[in-house]
Amino acid sequence: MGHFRLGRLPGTPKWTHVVDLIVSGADAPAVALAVLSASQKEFETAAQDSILGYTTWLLTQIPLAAKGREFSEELRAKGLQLFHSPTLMEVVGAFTATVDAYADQQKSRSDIGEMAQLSAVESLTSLIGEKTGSLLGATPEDNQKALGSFTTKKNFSLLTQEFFARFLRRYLSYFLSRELSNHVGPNRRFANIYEHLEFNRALDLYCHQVTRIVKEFAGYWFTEANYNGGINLSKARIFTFEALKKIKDELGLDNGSNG
Amino acid sequence: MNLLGEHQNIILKIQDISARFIANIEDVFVDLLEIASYVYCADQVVTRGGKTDPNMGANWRRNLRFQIPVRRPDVWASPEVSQSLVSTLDFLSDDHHYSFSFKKLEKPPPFEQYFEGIGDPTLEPESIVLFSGGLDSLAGAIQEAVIEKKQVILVSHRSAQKIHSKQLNLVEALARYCSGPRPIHVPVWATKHGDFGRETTQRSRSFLYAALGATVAHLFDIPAIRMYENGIVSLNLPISGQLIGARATRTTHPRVIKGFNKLFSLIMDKPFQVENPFLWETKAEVVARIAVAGCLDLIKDSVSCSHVMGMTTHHTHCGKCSQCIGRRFAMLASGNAAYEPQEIYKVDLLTGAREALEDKTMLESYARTAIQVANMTETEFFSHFGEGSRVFSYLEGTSNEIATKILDLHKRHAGQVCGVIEEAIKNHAREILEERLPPSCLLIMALPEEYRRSAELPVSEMDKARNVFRQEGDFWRIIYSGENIALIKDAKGLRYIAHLLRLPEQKIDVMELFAEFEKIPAVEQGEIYRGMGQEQLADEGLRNFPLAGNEQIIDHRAMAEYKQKFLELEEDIREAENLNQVDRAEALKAEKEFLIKQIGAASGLRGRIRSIPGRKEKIRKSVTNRINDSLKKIQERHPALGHHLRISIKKGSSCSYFPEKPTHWEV
Repeated sequence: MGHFRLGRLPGTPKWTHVVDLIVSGADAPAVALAVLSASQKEFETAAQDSILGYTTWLLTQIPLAAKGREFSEELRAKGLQLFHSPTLMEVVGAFTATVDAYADQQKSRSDIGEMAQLSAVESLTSLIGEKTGSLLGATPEDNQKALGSFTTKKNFSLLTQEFFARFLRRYLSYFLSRELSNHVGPNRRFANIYEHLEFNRALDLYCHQVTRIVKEFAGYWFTEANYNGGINLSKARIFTFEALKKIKDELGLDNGSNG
Repeated sequence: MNLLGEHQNIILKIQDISARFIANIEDVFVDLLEIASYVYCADQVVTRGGKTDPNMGANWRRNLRFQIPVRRPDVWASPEVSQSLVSTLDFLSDDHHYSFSFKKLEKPPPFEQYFEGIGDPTLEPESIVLFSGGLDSLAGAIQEAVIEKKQVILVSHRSAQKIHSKQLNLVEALARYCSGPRPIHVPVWATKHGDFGRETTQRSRSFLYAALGATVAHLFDIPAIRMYENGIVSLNLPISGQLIGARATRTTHPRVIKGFNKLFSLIMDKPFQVENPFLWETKAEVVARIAVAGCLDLIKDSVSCSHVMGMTTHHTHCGKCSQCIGRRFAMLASGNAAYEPQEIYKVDLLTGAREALEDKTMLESYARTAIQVANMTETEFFSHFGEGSRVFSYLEGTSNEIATKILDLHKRHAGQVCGVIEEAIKNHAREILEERLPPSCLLIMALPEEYRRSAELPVSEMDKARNVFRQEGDFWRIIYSGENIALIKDAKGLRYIAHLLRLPEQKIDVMELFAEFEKIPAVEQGEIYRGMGQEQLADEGLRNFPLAGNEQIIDHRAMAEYKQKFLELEEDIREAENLNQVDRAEALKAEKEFLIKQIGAASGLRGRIRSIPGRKEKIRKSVTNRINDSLKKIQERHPALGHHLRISIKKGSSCSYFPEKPTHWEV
């Protein structure tokens, strides 16, 4: 009984321009900029999404709890249903369930919020998988140590960049995936599925490059905010807003340089 | 919405259950059936915003409020039941919020009116299986009725007559394989009047389906129902970035199943289980079960397609929806494709053309995801499918054990899909080489680069210095210094550039360049433009183009035609005068005078063609803009070529291509 409900891009001139760029063979950054330009209002509104802000806050709490002596207890205090010495899969499972519960409670589930919570667990999975070398084979202690390492200025910057890069990538894919498959085949933009995959990888890279601007200030913000009374939801929301604003400025969305 | 009475617009009928069992029904289950029917119908009444999902899908999630009179408000209004109902539905349908207000139904109608038909009063069923008539539920029915020889009740949701007939035939055929008790089919007709349904996504349908099964189970005092669904569909990890939330259905997602368990246990006040025994199997493995049971002949009678409306006698499957795609891959991967005629699919999985955007996106995304997953490490898999984290809390076992099973399941599925594609490429090699397959079919889309014909291959050593600027259908193939750059959609600017590349180091008058692609004598252009609105003219680069006849563009060719006409007229006049044809001679003279005026208006002194600076300027601008547009597209794709063309192409009243060093182009 599984269904997928597929959509289409709107037929406005800006979205038509996106399609034209895909057809004409424009590179991933040019297409990405056109998507962000066509959806500028939505991108700006995203910064105010309550689930996005909550997800960012919860993401900051994982490393802080991991640095403490009572990892699972500290996480339970944040709402994560965990037992003693949790594995990474248990942490990300509880993370998702906690954000889901918050969204249900607030009645504020949204597509942006979904993208945010998925980006958060994917960031944790990716970085911890790299650090421990074995996602499912690492011990709970290894995972806790790896998670705790994100409390340093440098490593928190990495985690934050990964999160916003994945969020931006999901945001772009939310729109582009409605169109890109249509351009696969001989004498089309992508000769085959593999060229489509290559384009997707170029988008990944672009999102990581664009979000370097977040990396530059995230570590500083984290240590300062944590030192000055801890990171609460309000501070995390302001940080999220600022991060997306910096990304937007980096892209030059306000000055029309995106065409 | 009303299930009963003169304003009835929802139909609910449970068929073929004996009155002996119906008498067992408790009020809370009649309530459950009614609530599930209302939810199912309301889900179809309120739109979710259409395919463009405006405002980041703001309309996808709805607030649905129900006020339902029930027989047991004490049960339904209890916080635990209410919370369980809402939480399960919120996740299942991905809506903002369901809210229910229950009040006492003062004069409950007799529940018998929901039942019709005469069932066997001696039944002693051992198992309740939800039976859609698709492959997975068929395999489940075979498992229980044929292999385990259980007395099984197959509960079906009778949503459309076409499907109902297929289900009846399939149950009859299944019965012939049973050496134990025959399976009993209980169709439940739950539908709404056609005039108030707008939304077709029906994400809450499995709640109705499970409620029907649980009610039948309750009638026979069986503490479980089974929803057989393969794990790939049950977990339904998104194959595309647009599939946020329940845009990928959660029909039998472990969280939903657990929610049903809790809800039904609460209202029964005893443990109740909704089970999916196929959770860790791929569809190909499910088909293999049917093969082991010796029931492959039943497959041709099963229907998996979601496009019931388009079903015909010959084509029972559209071949385009995800169900058809998954089914055909499974049949091929399990080596049992011969047990369903290929013709049942309106479009062939591997070689059928897919022109519609959604059809192509569905198949390309399905295959691309499988190709990706086949090559992923465990970290890459869970870093790509964050949705996987939604499963851990709702299944037995540690999160690592569940994650390992999820990964293994998807790796097996990806291997099966890729195996089918690889085998098919081998089997269709000749058709591929002879270009007999449609470009939008799966085999061509999935054809790896190394198998492509030489034209598609990276440029060879011999071609390293090659430059190509060639139109191929609606696109231009551009190769620069042997580097295959792009296929760019046809545009006038590209045609102008190609013309200049074809004639390097030659100055070409912009009027000639413009006229080159109009395929009509320039003198006629004014007439062509006369029929156009300003918008079309602007599109041609001729904003505010004056259309008066005496302002027509005239070129040397047109002037020669005028003079030829003048000479012919003089000869005709002489002939008419010699024959004393006065009227004809006068008419010809009038025509000659008109022609003289035309030539005079377009000519300067000594018969030279008069220049029309305003017109030429407009055309110059148009040609320049078109060339610049195309250069911009080339620049985006290949900066080096963009730079080369920018410094080599001169635009203005005359255009030319003067490369810094001799550069040959195949145009």
